[in-house]
Amino acid sequence: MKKYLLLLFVLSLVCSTEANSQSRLSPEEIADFNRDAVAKINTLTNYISKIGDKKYGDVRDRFVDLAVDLFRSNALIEVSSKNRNSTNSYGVREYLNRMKQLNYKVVIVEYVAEASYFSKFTEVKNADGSIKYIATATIGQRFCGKRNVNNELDKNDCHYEDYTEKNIEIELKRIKDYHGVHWVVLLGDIRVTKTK
Amino acid sequence: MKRIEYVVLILFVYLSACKGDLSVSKEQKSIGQGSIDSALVFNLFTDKDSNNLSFDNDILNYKVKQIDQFIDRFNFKENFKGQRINKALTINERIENISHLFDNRFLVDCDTNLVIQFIENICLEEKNIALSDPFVFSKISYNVLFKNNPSSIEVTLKYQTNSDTTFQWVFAGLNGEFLNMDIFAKQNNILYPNAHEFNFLRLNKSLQDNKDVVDLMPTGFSTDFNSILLYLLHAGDLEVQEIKSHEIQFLQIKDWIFKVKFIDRFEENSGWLIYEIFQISDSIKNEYLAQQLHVTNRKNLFDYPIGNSINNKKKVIDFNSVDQQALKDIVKKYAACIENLTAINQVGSQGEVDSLLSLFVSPEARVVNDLLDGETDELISIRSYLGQIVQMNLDTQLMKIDFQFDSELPIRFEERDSNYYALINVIKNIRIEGEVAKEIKEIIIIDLRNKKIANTSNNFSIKSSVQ
Repeated sequence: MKKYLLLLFVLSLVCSTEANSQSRLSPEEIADFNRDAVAKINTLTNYISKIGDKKYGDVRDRFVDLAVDLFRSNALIEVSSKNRNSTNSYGVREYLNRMKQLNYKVVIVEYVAEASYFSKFTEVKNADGSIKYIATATIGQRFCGKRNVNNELDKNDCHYEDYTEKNIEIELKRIKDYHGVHWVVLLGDIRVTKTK
Repeated sequence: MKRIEYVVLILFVYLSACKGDLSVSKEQKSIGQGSIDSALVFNLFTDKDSNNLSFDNDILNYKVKQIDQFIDRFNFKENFKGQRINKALTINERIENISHLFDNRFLVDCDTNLVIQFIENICLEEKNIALSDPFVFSKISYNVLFKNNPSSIEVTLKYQTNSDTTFQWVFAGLNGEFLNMDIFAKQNNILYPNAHEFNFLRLNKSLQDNKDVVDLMPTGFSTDFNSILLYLLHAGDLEVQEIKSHEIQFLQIKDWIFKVKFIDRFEENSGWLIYEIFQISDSIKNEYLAQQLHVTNRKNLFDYPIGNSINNKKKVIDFNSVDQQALKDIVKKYAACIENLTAINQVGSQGEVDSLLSLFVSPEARVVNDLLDGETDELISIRSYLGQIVQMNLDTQLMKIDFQFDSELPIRFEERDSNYYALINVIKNIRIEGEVAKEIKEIIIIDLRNKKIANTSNNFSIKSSVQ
């Protein structure tokens, strides 16, 4: 019996050490996830362009689903327009569905590299004691909505256009899914910081 | 650097701010690189606002987009154009960098001498700041409805260091007219010592009248605004509407306070900028904290009683009377903790990390990042340093750090900024797989007031490096 207890004790030690070794990331590992974060933001931009573009028809619902998967579950998006002073907050799906209903034939969303800034990841502790990392990405975005277009690349005929800067929360957290326990990058709240 | 040169610099800032027509062309901007030149300062005020989207991307590069970026620029890790700094800056370059962190509208009306003194103070002594420094506060004003009547509250937040050295913003102060329980005027209705003989009849009356209950509170009673806020929110009497303003106040620089807020405009001079500075003795900063930021909890205050006068004299330390053995014991404890953390086949426990951090003045105390390859003078927080050690230890379990006193160099004492420090030389060995990979001479600097390690410093001589 004592042998079993000892074995159990050693096993529990090994398990706790293993769990500990996985619960934090090295600066190099975090740097790898930085690239993931950039990729996710690019993917989101790509989806938003397609969701607002009528030529994709019903497939846009699928892009909404895919875009929602980039975010953590309770993320909010704050939206502003240069035609009004106030801002409104929406859940991600609601925001994307509104984007789908915009009355533009083509939507062009593009990043302005000079406006982007990524903060360092900061370690935070969840209420359950687990660790996650958060960062803030600032991105500048040009939006152009066209109603009648001959040439999609011609930005001069935008029916509506604006330049916004958005602070995007990036969350690096450990999740358990069918791949097992692993770290993923998720997008969090988005806040508009500038509208031109 | 002569003071007159600063005056010239700031005058340029001041004059150019006042005269909006003094904009310069791109060609002019390139003149005078590396020296104080008007063009370097003028570009602060070149308004490039335009009504179409083909704007100058310099605006976006110059903009201070996040507080993180503001701190990097303040600490000379990034220049005002958004480029990383990989070399030591000249004093002129440092001044230029700091100048760009001011809101140019503030410079129009400010006391020029005050700005000169501030910049001089920052640039000559290269004072680094961090959001996790003890005296950084975020002040947010909200519009609220209190029982359906418009009102406002001010919330002061600060970083809390958790036991695992992570941070989070927490309430440090709160103010709102409706939170103040002093509205109940004192009636001098005390409960007499024999009140129990009368079944506390007067207490019953006081509670029913709901006016003089405050008289029944013990000496030293003060209302806890946080609890009142929680109750009002829970009871549905308070509805928070929107943020009215948000600023971050930095109080950690000796005898200075500066305020930073996000200035939202389409110019190079935009984003998180200093919009107010003032000189205030450290000895009365607690009064400022109590009155302006409503911070009264002792753990959030400077380490002296509230209301200490400006004449409060600091304790003068006689270096001859300092117990050198006690200082060496601190270093030995530090060495033992580091050795434990890096001992082969051991994983550093939280307890060990905590006891090591307790030897430092703060988890953000700067230490030499000697874990990097080759010679380095990069400084990181002891918190991050330990994180790296624990991680390397987990990854390889082959690294070991030990160090001993450098017998060739005696303990030195220094007075700096009216603080007293002991400088102890050690030789540090970083072993990989038992072999000495790096032997570094470091200086451990101990704050003599609280007998804690203030920071470590490289004495710029790596004795050997095994490839």
